[in-house]
Amino acid sequence: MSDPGPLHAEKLISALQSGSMEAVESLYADYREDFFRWAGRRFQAPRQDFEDAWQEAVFAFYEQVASRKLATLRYSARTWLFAVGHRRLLNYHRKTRRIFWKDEIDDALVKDPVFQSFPEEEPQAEERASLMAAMQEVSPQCGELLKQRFFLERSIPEMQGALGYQSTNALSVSLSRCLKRLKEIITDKQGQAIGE
Amino acid sequence: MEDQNADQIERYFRNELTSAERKAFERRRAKDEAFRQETELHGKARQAIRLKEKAEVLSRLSARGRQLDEQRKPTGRYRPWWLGGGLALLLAAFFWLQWKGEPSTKTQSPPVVSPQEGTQQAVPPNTEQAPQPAETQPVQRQERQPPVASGKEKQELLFAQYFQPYKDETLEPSVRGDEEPSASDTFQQLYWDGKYREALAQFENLPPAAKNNDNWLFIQAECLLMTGKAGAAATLLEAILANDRSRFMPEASWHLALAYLKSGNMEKAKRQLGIIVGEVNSPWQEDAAALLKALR
Repeated sequence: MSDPGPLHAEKLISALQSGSMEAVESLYADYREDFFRWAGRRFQAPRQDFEDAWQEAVFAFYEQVASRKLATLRYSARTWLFAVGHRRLLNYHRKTRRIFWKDEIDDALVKDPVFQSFPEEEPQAEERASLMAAMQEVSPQCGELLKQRFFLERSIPEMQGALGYQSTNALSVSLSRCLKRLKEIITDKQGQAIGE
Repeated sequence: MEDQNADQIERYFRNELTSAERKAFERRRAKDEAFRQETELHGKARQAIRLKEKAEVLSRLSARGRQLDEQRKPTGRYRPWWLGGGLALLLAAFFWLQWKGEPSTKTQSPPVVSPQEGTQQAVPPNTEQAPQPAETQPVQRQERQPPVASGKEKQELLFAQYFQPYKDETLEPSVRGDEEPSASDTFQQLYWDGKYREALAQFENLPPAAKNNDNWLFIQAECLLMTGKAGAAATLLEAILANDRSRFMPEASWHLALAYLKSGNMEKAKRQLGIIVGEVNSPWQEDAAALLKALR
């Protein structure tokens, strides 16, 4: 698998910024086996762990690009993904890490502190289940508004155009109601958990 | 004022505050309990939105991964050659012995290829020596006849007839050198070796991130089922299916039905089996239909 050139990177970023799941899946499939081979030379670990690390890396890339935190690529998408996947594997398999000749990914990991923030810390299982359950209770429409605003970090005018709202005011009111509802559900669930 | 707070809190989470604004924000959060709670709740709401999106994306990627692995299977480099070669060798040995006309061989049965060969499940090493619940020991998947027992005994027999702890090539521990195995490696090795009680004890030593990983939780559920804790296994499998983040989703669905069966929850077992019967791509669709028929 050859590295994508700058044009490919631009197209990829544009597709991910528009929330294209096809682009996410394509990215996942294009480098998957390449990552397994690359990681297999560096860690003694079951394929399942490589799979988990790869999925986490692809999601992290999607999250960063879609929310515009990563607007231009200093490295190729492959280097970025492999570096984040490597960080994830280090958390589980530090002891089985193999010394291998350096490549551009090792250079990126050493030189760029941005990779130190991966993988992001996740809430504990109980908290995660409670938050997931809260999101299940909001309506699909609210879910979409909240995703656009707080995951994809779209501005209100951007959302207005994309979601077909008559005015930014109407959109802000809906968004505010949805967020309030979600917070109420979370508070209720926490109260229930404490009461149990 | 409320809107101003909300705006400031959101900008804090987006990392949009200036250095001075951030310091002022931190000071206020330390002093003002209501503001601290408001910030915390906003952070949780953001986390909930992110977790939902992440679960959806990872679910899609898992499905795509399974699809890619399926596509890879026919082009496996060693298995077809190995199976074909092994069979050819056995046949050649048999005919050679026949041709030699040795009296002892005439009374022997022809060589039999293990019924496990050719199936998708890898055969774990030494499982016959591993401590297993009595109900799973003598039963072969291929010899499924409707049991004649009834009630609780019938449930036990059916469970034993259909349940096997899930093992495939992705779960096979990798051969390691002289380095000390990690807690996860040890857990996986114990599971693979059929030492389910020891594996359950070892699960407690896994790092927190691994304990929250649905793939490892699925293996824990398998260990619980093998050690007779079907109720606990069912609770775990329900959560795994709800999260939809494991690479063992079809297996979790099928084993949830069996966990219900084992714990005597027949209504839930039938409902779950009905779901599997309706899943066109489930490898256990036929088994689920047969079991459902046996239960009715």
